[in-house]
Amino acid sequence: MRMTLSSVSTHMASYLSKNTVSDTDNSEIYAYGLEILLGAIIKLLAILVSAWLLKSLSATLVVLATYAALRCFGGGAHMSTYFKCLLVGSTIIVCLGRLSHITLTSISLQYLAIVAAVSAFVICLKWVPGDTAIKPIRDRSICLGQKIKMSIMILLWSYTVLHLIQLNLNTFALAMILGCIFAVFLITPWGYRLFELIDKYVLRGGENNDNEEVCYEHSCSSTCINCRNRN
Amino acid sequence: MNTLAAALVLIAGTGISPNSWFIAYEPRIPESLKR
Repeated sequence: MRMTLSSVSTHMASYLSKNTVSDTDNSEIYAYGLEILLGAIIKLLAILVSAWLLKSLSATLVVLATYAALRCFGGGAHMSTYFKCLLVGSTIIVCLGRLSHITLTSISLQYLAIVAAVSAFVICLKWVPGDTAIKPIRDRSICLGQKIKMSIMILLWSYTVLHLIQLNLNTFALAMILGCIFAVFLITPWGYRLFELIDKYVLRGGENNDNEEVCYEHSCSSTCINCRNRN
Repeated sequence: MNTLAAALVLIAGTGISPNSWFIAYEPRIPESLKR
């Protein structure tokens, strides 16, 4: 039997379900919660260990925190399996953390931050929330709410980056800029397309649902917000 | 065990909200959690 995060979670959930006092069978919900929790812990450990080995732990943590904060409200492209997610996500975040050690002048960083902020606002207006086939977001009020939350996050991000540049903490400022660029890129159709290409052609295999109706524009469900905005 | 189960139900609840904290992969949502 192939051991996946899902199968491990299901086994643990059924054990938990047998040993808890409940009127209904919640094993499905426990399995889902465990899959989220274990997935996050494993991924965090993989990123921390890789970043520590590459001697860029602090910058990688800044990239990760920025990426996670923007991703939480903005959404974006997803890989189809946990293994692919772990491999691609961890690699990109650790590489960005390492890349943050490049020496740039404060002026260059300021220009880069301004370009990133303007792009992030445009992407926020046009494509947030970046939903998926598993969890399509159709409600107009939820979409508007996510746009507002994302705009606030971008404002906070801009303020923090400019403050870090003023304090001459250029490595952390660049880490925040790279984290933001990565997060907002994955909300765009090009981000979806890139993840789709990696998913289908670079990392083959996994548990894709071939019967699912897929939007060719960004590999998500054809009812996604991006498609609706175009129609 | 009951505390862990309650915590997992709470985490599962965050998984279905629009402010998802999945970084690049999200598991299938169980039918019992779908609205």
